[in-house]
Amino acid sequence: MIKIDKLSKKFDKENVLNNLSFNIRDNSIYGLVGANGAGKSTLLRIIMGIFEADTGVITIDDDMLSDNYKLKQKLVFVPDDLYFYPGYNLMDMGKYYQSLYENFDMNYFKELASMFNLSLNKKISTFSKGMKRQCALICAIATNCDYMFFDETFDGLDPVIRNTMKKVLINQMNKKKTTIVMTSHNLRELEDICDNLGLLYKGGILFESEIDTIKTNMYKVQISLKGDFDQDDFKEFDILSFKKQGSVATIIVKDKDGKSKRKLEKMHPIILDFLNLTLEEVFIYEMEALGYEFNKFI
Amino acid sequence: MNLTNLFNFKFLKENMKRSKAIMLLCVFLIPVINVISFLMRFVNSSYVTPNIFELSTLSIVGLYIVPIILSITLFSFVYKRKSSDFVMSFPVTRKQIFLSNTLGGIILIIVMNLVNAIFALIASLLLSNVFIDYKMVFDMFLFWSISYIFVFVCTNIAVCLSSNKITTVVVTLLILFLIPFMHTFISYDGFREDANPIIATQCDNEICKPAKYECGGTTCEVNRKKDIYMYTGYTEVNNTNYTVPYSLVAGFLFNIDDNYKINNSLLKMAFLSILYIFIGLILFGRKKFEVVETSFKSDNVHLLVRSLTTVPILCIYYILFINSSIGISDLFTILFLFVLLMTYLIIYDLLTRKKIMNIFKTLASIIVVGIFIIFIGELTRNDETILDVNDIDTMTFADYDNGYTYDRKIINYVISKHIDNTYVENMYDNLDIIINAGKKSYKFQISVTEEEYNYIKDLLNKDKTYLKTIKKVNGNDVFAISIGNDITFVKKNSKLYNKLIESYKKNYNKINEFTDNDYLFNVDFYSYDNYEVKKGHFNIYDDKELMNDIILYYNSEVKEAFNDPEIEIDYYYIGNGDSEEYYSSYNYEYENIDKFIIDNIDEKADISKPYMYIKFNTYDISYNRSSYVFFTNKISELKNIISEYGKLYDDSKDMVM
Repeated sequence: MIKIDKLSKKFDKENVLNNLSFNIRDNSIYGLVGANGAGKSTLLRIIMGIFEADTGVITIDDDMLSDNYKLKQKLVFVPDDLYFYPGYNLMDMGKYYQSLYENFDMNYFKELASMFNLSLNKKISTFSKGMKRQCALICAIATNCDYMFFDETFDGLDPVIRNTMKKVLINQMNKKKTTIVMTSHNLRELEDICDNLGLLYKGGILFESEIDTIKTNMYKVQISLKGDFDQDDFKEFDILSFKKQGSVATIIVKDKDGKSKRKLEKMHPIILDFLNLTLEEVFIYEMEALGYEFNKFI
Repeated sequence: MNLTNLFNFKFLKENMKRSKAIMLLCVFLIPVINVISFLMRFVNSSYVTPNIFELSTLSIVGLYIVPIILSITLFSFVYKRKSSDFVMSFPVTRKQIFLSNTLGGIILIIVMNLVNAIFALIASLLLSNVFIDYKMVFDMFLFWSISYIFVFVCTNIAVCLSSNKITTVVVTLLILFLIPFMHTFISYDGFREDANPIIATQCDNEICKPAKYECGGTTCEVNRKKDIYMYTGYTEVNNTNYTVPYSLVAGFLFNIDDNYKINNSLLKMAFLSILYIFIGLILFGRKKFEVVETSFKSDNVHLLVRSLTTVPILCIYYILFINSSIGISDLFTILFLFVLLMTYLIIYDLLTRKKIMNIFKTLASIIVVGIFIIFIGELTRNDETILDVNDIDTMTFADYDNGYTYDRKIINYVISKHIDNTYVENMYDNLDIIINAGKKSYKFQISVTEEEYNYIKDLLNKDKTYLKTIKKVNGNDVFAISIGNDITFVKKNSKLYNKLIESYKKNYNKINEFTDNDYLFNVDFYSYDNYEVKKGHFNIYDDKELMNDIILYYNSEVKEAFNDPEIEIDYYYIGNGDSEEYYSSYNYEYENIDKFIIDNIDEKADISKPYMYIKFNTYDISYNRSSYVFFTNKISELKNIISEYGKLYDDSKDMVM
């Protein structure tokens, strides 16, 4: 488990991370979402020991990272800005990773390269941006590390490759019990792969939840009742948003106990449609409920 | 302690592998250029006994380039965000990265210097005209290895402190040079006064008073009344054992006369290297990778480093000012120097930060550094030093095997000769003297007649301290012997070589004398000690057998030379031990001299009979000259040949030994 406790980091007197605390449970995929400059990459670099926090502690499996070789063997990081040694081909990079990671699986690496149709002997510098991202990802995945950190994971990948890569990552998590932390400024990229999501804003986690829970606990209702009605008629519900156009109202309901659907049915509505929310919508309504305007964050 | 906690050899191997071209260049470039330059210089030269620096000339330049490039290459990832993220995310701790790279660099430097030493050894073995002591090859390896490692670890510290390549070089230079430079500025008068310091000699006893002292003015006369003799013929000798990178630069740029001991300097560098590795380890552990691609973490550190770089410049400005009187032209000079300094600072800012620092901060930094320099300079400035003869602790005689004496009689006598204005008409020799007075050392030269020379020699031979401290060459340390003032070198392990060594060992306790008379029988012993090639003169005039052996050796070399049918001779000297006459070979009539040599080549000349010699130079296709001497007892035959063509040789004095 990764425990982040009261982490702060300043760059030139500007708070990038501000008293940040949250946990990432093992064997899950954690998505960190935030606008540019929210502190996602800085957080990953601190976890990896590239930067040092001004205050606060990060523990992984109850161990501190500082100059801890054994712990570093459990971690792999793919930064947003990729780097490959000049003149290296994919095989050279694979060998490089193999020499440094004790659990690197060369066969799996070759298998992944073949799956993504990447030439092992071609210089990486001749690859496209998306192919370079694939190279970095498959090198990291083949390390079989317990913790994998991917910054802007799917940047530059086409939709087909993106889906395949997601499957590979899910497979990795399921088979090898890996914990994956990935960041993106695009919520839609992460919603179908992450177990947990955290929204980073001005160096702090503004909102964090398990995706399954937030998705099942919240829904959108289109409803029309006999006669005139307004929001006051729904006082017994936990309503995040109420919008009425003509005689039809669109309501976002938070349903913690699962009884609200039955209660709505008992109101004998003329129209009653239950719609699933996208993750983005969930975030929008949650943020609005907290008094923030979501567009500012993403 | 588990070594894997400190080093990660896999990381090191991969790190080196990725920049193998630069690594190979670092390892082989200097040795290859060294050996090529060595061969080019010496393949066609006459006999040479090169010292460490002649054997590895390029290593001097390489000292300021190779270790810096090596360090920057090994730590190249720290200069780019992408590469620092990539490398630092791998399962290698900061401690392992730093120590592995440091170890890797040190190994490469050792390999480089080993290759350099092997190449030098092979080159010297290939050239029969080059004589070196193999101990020197090892010393050369040690000397350059420690010096290169020192520069390398200094650069490693700079890498930890700065985050772009230019500032890394700047910080390296500051670490290497700033403190020793300031030490020189404060303590070495010769550097600050832009000439030798004015040192008057105070002498209150009769022995040290000069026989003749000419005064040039009232001040001089007033001083003479106080037994102070104005004389500026002393050169201050620097006694501080600076590190090699600074010593080489200081010697070259500031013309500092060094008397430093290389062993002390090497020990100092070895100690500092170890210390700097520890400092580097701590600094790398704390390095802020957030600031990669910029010079330093903050503007203040940038300002501090930039200000430190102006220290040597302002010191030199200060020296310029104290050595000139301020006038209108100097105001223009001040303005010019200020513009020069500002230009430097602007270029520095643009190169390291890509933006120019606030002008007021810049001016403030110049003023602060300027005031500091003036304060230090004025505090430590000596306009005139009076050297009291009684304060002289020791006097070293460089000509007499570097022995020194405390004997007041000798010291006073030599000082009296130094301040004496009497013109030495029959000068016999110039003696190089070094005196130590407190923390300072000065050197000077005195001209002596034969009588004075012998007087000093006799006094020294009676002085126990001197006899204990003379550093005479031990026969076992001799690696080359030349005869006839380096006309030829005696082949190692030849009969003559062994005989000369034996004779030298027997006469070891005698102070050697050197005389230009009968120079063909002068024997010079070359030995190597304390990073220096030393030459010792040896007198064999009382050993007729040895002299005959030398004649035979000369003649055998001539025979060997005449085996070459293509031999070209450009001139002759014909002499009899007292005088020599010159004959140009371009005059075809002298071919009979060649014939005479060839006809008598197997003659066994004898020193106990009247003899003459023909000295000639040969040259090959590359105009490589070699000298040969042919001795003969057939004086009348030789005289007939040369007299056939006019008055060429008039002196009929035959030398009989």
